[in-house]
Amino acid sequence: WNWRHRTEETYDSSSEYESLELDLASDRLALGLSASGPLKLEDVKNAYRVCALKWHPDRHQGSSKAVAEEKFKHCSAAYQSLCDKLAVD
Amino acid sequence: MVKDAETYKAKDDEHRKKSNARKALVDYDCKVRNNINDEKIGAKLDPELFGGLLLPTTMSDHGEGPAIGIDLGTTYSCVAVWQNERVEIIVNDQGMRTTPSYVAFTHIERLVGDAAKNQAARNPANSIFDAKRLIGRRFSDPLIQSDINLWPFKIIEGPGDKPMIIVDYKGEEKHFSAEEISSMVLRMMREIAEAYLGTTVKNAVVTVPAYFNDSQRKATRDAGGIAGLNVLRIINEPTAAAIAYGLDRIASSIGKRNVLIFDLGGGTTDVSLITIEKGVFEVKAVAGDTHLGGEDFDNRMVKHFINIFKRQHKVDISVNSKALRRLRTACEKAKIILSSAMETTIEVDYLYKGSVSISWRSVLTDAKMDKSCVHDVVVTGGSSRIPKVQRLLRDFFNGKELCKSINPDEAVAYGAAVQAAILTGMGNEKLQDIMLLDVTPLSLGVEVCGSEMSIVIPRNTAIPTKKEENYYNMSDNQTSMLFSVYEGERTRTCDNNLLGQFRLSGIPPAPRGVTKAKVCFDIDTNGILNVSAKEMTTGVMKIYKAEDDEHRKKAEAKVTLENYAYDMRNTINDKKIGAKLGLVRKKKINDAVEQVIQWLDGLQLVDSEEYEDKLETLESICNPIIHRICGQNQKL
Repeated sequence: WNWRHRTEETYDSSSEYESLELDLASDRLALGLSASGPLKLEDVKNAYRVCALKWHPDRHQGSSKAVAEEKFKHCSAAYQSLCDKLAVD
Repeated sequence: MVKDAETYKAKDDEHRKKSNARKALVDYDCKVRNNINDEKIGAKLDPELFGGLLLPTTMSDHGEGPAIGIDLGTTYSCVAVWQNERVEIIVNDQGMRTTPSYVAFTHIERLVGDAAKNQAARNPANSIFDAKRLIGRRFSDPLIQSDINLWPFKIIEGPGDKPMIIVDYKGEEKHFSAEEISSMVLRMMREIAEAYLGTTVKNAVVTVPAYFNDSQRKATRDAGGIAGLNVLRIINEPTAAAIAYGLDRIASSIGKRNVLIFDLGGGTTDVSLITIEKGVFEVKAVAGDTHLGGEDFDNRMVKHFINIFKRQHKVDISVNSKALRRLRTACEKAKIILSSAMETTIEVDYLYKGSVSISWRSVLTDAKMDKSCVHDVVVTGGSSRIPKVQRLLRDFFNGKELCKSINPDEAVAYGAAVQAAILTGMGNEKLQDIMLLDVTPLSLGVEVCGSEMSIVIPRNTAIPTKKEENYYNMSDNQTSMLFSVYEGERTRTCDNNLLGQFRLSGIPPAPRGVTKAKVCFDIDTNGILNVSAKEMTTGVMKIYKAEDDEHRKKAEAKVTLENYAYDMRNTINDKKIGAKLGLVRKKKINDAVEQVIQWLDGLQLVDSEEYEDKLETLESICNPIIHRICGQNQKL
C-alpha cells in the first residue's frame, strides 16, 4: 500500500511554469494587489493583514461566516505562496 | 519535544539525504517508463475541484446567556466573565479565585475542587489530579508510563490504548477517562459561574497550552461537551494571556509591539511570540513542552526525598500512597514558600535549564526575529514566580525587565473571558477592535513511501487554513491508497504522532505514478484538523473521521437525556402544570425522572444507545401525560 508524492514538474515542466505564472497573478489579486508589476515583501504583508482582518471568521456572523472562512483560507494560501516566491527570488 | 528535535536533527538530516537520493533514482525510472507507456501523461488533469472538497463547517449555536472563559489548568482552574464593561474573575464557594483541578471519590460522594484536594491525603488512591497530563494521550505514551509511578491513583490501559483511571466510588470499582475527569472540573467551574451570575451558563471558551496537539485539543473540547458546555472556541493559553496583557494597552499603543509570552504553569511550559498592532493579536510562533511545569518540580523534589529516605532509613516510601501524598503536599508548599528565597533554585535548577531556554530560542528562530526586536517579555503561570526562572529569562534578553503586571494565576482565564465576549457579540466598543490571529503549533502531513513525513501544513501557519496536495500511486494497478495522517517535525513518521488513518479504495488499475489523489487538510478556528482525499479520475472521496467520534456521540446522547430529565423535573414542579397533573400522574413522572437523574449521577459514560433507550422510555412515560395537559399542539 505504498504510494508517493511527486510534484507536477516531474511530468511536464513547461506547462507547470505557465500555471505558476497564472497562480502568481491570481494570488496577487486574491490579496487585492495588482496582477503584475514589481512586488515587495512589505506590500504583500500589508495586503495580507488587511485581507485577514476583513475575512477572519470571527468578524462575521451567521451565513456569511462560512464564506468568510473560505476567503480567509484563500488569502492565507495566496500570502504563503507569494512569500515563498519572494523568498526564492 | 523541542529538545528532542534538536538532538535528532543530525540523524534526520542523514536519513533525508539517503532517501532523497533513492527517491531521485526511483522518480526518474518511473517517469521514463510512464512517458513511454502513456501518451496522455502530459495532458492537463481536471481543474480545481474546490467545491467538491468543501467540508461542512460546524456552526456553534451561541444561544442565550453569558459566555464564560475557563482556564482548565493541570493543577488549578480559573473562571472569568465579561461583565459591566470589564472582566471579573469569579470566586468559588470557598472564596478562592482559583479552584484545584481535583476530583475525589469516596464511599458516599464525589468531590471536586478544594473539597477534593483537602481530603487527598486521607484518600490518595481515589483523589484524581493531573487529568490534563493524561488527556488526549495514549496509554503507551512514554510520558504517561513515567508519570504512572508518581501518581498515587491507578491507571490501566483501556480500549484503543486509552488510559483509564480506576477509582472506588460508593464501594464500586469505576473506570474514568481523562475527558470525564476534566469534564467534572469544567462542570464545577460552570457551576461556580452560574452561582455568581445567577443564571445558567451554556457557552464557554476553554484554553489549552499552545503546544497541545490535535488529539489533546479534541479531547478537551469533548470534556466541555460532557460537562454540558457549548465550547465556543479552544484558544491557546499564551494568546489568552497576551489579551490580558494587551487589552489596556491597545488604546495607548502606537505602532507594533512584539511581545514574548512565557507561561510556566503547573504542568506545561508555553512560549509564544505575539505581535500586537491596532487591536490585532497575531501569533507569530509557538513552542513549548506539554510536560514541564511546577508539578515536575514537585515530582523532582518527591523523587529526591524518596531517595534520601531510602538512604537514611532504608525504607521505600514510594509504595505507600498515603506517605507519597503527604510528601507531595509538603514539597508543593515548600516550593511556593521558597519562591521568595533563593534556596529554591538548588532543587529545581538542573531540571529546566535545558528545555525551557530552547523553547524561547525556538520561537524566535521560527518567527525569524532577533531577541533585540522583542519589546516586552511577559511572564505568566504560577511557576513563573520561581526566581531562578525569571533570572534565566532576564539574562537571555540582556537584562530586560519582565512584565509582571498581570496576575499569573488569572491572566489566561481573563483573556478567555474577553474572547468569549467577542465571540458572542457581548463586548463593548473596545472589544470590537480586537482580533486573534492564531497559528498551528505542529506541522501536519501524511506518510509517503519509506515511512516518511510529507508535510501539507507547516507549523506556525495562520488558522483557519486549508491546503491541498497531490499524491500518486506507488505501484502498478494499485486499487486502494492508505492515508496515514501525522503531526510533528521529524522526517520519519515513526518519530511523529499518528492522528488517524483512512483508505481510498475502488481506484481503477493504472500504472505506477498515474493515479492522482488530491488530499485536502482543513484546520478550523479551534485548531482542529479535518482531512479528505479524492481520487481524481473516478471522484471517489473519503473524509477522515476522528477516532473519538464514538466518544462524542456518547457525550451528546448523555447531555440530551440529562436536559430532557431536568426539563421534565422543572415542568412538573411548575405550579400551573403541576396543578393540572394531579398527584398520581405527577408522581409517576417524578419517579421516572428522579430514577434517570440518579442513574446519570453514576457518571460512568456508557454507550450512546443506552442513553437513547433511557430517553425513549422516559419520553414514553412523560410525553403522553404532558401533551394531554398542555394540548396536542404544544411540544415540550
